Amino acid sequence: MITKYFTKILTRFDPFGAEAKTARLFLSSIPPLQRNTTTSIKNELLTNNTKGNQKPLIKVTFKDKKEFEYDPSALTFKELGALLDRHSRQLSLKESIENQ
Amino acid sequence: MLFSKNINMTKNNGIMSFVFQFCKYSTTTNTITAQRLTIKPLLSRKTLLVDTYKDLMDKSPLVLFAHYNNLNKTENKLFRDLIQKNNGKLTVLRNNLFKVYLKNSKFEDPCFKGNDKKKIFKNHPLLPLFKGPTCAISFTEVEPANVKALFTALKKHNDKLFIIGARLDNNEQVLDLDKLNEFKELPNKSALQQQLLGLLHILSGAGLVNTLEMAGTKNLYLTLKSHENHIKKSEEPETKKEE
Repeated sequence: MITKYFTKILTRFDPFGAEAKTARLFLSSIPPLQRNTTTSIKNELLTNNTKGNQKPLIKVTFKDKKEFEYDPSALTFKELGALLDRHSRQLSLKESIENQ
Repeated sequence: MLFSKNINMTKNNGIMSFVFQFCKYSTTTNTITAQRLTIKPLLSRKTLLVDTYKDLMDKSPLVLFAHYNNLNKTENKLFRDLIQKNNGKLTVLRNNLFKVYLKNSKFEDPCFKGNDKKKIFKNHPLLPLFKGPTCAISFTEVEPANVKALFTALKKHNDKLFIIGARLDNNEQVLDLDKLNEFKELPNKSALQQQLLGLLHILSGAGLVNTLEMAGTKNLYLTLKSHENHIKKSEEPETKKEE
């Protein structure tokens, strides 16, 4: 997964739920240096009390302020990566053209 | 070395001595494995890890499970120090081996080859936690104040290491975050015991006797009293003899 162009990440999941795997793998795939510098990560944990009000969510904001929202219970980590990579590749192409 | 010696023996003394040597060798290996028959080799890393996980879970009454995001060296040290300050110990777990331990946690030896597969604990309540990088924070004492301090300290580093669940006292009592939040507000064990004592003290005297009587334990009291009388009677003649 290309994580270079993420600026903001919001994850919300129940650690005992089925969505936990995708959400946790996604969180751990952000490199530590990037986490300390360019990308801000916010993380909320759902419990049995708060489950009714909120649904599991992964929200990614890109460098060009485009936002993507996904439900981690419906996607595997690989699928999520592929979906996000589509936009990342567009951005990298744009960047390489501008640099020339 | 041993093998080369065996070959030399065959050259000198013929096949029989080789067979003899081989039998001798194989019997010694049998005695080693007979001590403990494990699924993976006895001295393998996997057996060792499952054993250490068993030790970790048996010896610490409170174990918190946390998710960590790939920590760099300084962060790793920071978190380890922070946890140590609160009398805990951080252990990074290998998920699949920890799951193996959990499934076999009801057996005396989780690595034993002959464990009954039908009795495996397939839906252990902790199992869903082991998807992604997980570590255990083990405490040798149950101190809710320590857990509270740890929670507030970890809140500053929200995304890097966060607690997702816990296990208290026995293997099946699992705390999720709701219960953990309640738990960390409790006073510690000795304070709770003092509260109970205070309560009993208020009830004691006429109150406690009455409640015990109402619960239908009068018969128990009478039998105990008669038993006491009986003991006294049997003791009396012995003391007279001694005199």
